[in-house]
Amino acid sequence: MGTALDVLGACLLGLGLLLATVGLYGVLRMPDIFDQLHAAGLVTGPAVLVILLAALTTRSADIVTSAALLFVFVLITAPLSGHAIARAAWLRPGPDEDGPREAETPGAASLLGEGMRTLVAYDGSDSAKRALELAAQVFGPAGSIAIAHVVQPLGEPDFAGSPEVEDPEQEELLAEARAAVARTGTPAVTLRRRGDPAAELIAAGAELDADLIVVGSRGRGAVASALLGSVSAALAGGAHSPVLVVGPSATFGHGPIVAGIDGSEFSLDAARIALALDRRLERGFRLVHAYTVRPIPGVSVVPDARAELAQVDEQKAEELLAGVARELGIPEEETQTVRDGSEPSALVVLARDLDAALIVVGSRGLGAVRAAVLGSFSTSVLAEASCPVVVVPPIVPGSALG
Amino acid sequence: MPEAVAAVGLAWATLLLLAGGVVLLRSRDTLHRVLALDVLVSIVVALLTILSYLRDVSYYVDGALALGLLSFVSTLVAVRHVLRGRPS
Repeated sequence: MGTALDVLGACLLGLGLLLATVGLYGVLRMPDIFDQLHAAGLVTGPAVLVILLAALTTRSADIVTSAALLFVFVLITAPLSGHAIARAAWLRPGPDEDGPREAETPGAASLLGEGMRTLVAYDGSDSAKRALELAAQVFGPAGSIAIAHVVQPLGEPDFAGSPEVEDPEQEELLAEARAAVARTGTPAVTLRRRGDPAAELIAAGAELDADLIVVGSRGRGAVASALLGSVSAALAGGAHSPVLVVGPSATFGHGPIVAGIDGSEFSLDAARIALALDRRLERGFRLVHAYTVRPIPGVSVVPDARAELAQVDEQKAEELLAGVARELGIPEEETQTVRDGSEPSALVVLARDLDAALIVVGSRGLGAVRAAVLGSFSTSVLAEASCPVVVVPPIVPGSALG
Repeated sequence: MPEAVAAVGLAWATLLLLAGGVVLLRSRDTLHRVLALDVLVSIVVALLTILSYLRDVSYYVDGALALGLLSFVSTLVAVRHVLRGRPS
């Protein structure tokens, strides 16, 4: 029995090392990164796994337990990191001449004239159509519009393909979008891009020096968008300009622009952007601080204590709001506090009551995954709001609207 | 597992580590380096595992687990940097 185990262990160890050797040889000899990844996968996956399997023959419970843990870990992470590298190699804009990114549109910045520069992301979906329509109606008269369509490359890389290859579907979608905007009397330019949608849109926005990026949202919740990938969430975290997200049921109301603040630095930026938008759109303005009364367990046995605490919280909220309003020069009648509930829904309900045109909120710039884990104020507003929402990322200094 | 087998495996894995170093030195750009480091970490994980078989103690495997975790996270971050980190 003992000998058989020893032989099995030696065989597994030998097999694992052999796999690793073959894989390394492949990495050394293969010409480009995709082929190398294939060979490297042999080292990071099977080779390590087989060597870990040999732990079963050591007759030591400690080693077997630790090795089992590592086995599961490698089983999960090896394919994930391999995939991440392959995806980056495929999507990266870069020195590789056959990189997936479309050739730059020459002088794109000069294509957009005076006034407000709005970049609309368009993919032909219903929400994108709504976003485009709204952008053309609301922001078209104030300036000019660029429509961007991003093709996300899938499947086999076409090694013979040149970057100039035209995508008939892309052309069709862009023509349709341009026609839709033209009906409102606003001239529009179009941008063709290839690559990761969020990254390309962020880059396009920076190139055009866009004042606003408009995207449609499928209205997925925080968890679903973290799992499935949400372009609007990624944009809200990383764009260099405010991002207007048009939800599936969002309508542009007749009321004021509602800016939500919580006293933090990023919410102040959002309020400034909201003021700037208000100067362009002249819809009226409402600065709102939504606050919660802290629930304190045990206090409820004292009848008046709860009310007293609530009063303290209310006073604090009023002070904070007044401070921000003074700093930004906003008259008192345009400010308001709302109380209770979780903060996002209080803000959303108020916006609905006011028939708000837009809600403007700041974003800490968390990625989709972190936002889902930590809970993102802007994401929950996005999911619930009945009007379009402007998410203001941590703005780089010098934003045109700011 | 006989000690001799583990010792030979250890020597073999060390040679692989040297070959991995060559891969790293020959890498042309960031992604190649990320890939090379990923492979190198895998070899070190294998090396530590074999070391724990040889010495008959388990904590080398735990160290390998920590290393693998670090490598996984840094691979993802480096890849993200390649995709999104370009100056604008």
